[in-house]
Amino acid sequence: MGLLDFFKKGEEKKVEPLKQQTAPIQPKPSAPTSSVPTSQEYTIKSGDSLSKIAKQFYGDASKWSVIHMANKDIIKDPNLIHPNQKIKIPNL
Amino acid sequence: MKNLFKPLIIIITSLFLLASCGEKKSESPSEILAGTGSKAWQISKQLDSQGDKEKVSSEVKDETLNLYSNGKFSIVDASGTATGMWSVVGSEKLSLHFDGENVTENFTITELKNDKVALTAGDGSAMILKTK
Repeated sequence: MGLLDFFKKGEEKKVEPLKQQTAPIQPKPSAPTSSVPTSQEYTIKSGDSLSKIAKQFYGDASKWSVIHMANKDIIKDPNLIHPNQKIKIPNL
Repeated sequence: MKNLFKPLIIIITSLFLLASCGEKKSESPSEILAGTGSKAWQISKQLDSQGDKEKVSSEVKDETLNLYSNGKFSIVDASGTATGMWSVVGSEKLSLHFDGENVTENFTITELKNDKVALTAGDGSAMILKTK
């Protein structure tokens, strides 16, 4: 049983607009949530590294592992990526 | 009288300062779970609804739950990334609302430390997560 399996079997409660305790409510995009892609594609350029790409997309180089996890089938060694490889950049 | 006043003020001030130093700001459950920016949690141990330990494969151990202090979360596993919003309800329930779902998934927080959290699901199964 993985994380996702576990977190899909909580005590379910119908959503009344969810009250966030820690953060202000984010403005919602006008498009319906279901049509928002969960990741986008990026073609690796010469000189790129996962941390550089993480910095570019997330503003935080330490989030490179998120990109690595989403592309484990393509990127076996996070220190070794090649130009023109197409990778997924998950939305956070 | 004037001679007594000055030492008295010094003693009172010192006692006040000592009392202030002992005070430790307690963190809210949300701060413990997400820190100031985000925290990445991974499975340390899982128990089925009977309380029996379940084997955690190395692939599953690599999966990550990222909790962000802005209320968002992402679960990254080999198949992709699931995202949504999270919150702590009444200091003992972790509530996750996956994007596109019309229900929240709620878990009882049975243990909460800066580097460890234990959660129980609706069916009684439990998971212990540790920070990455």
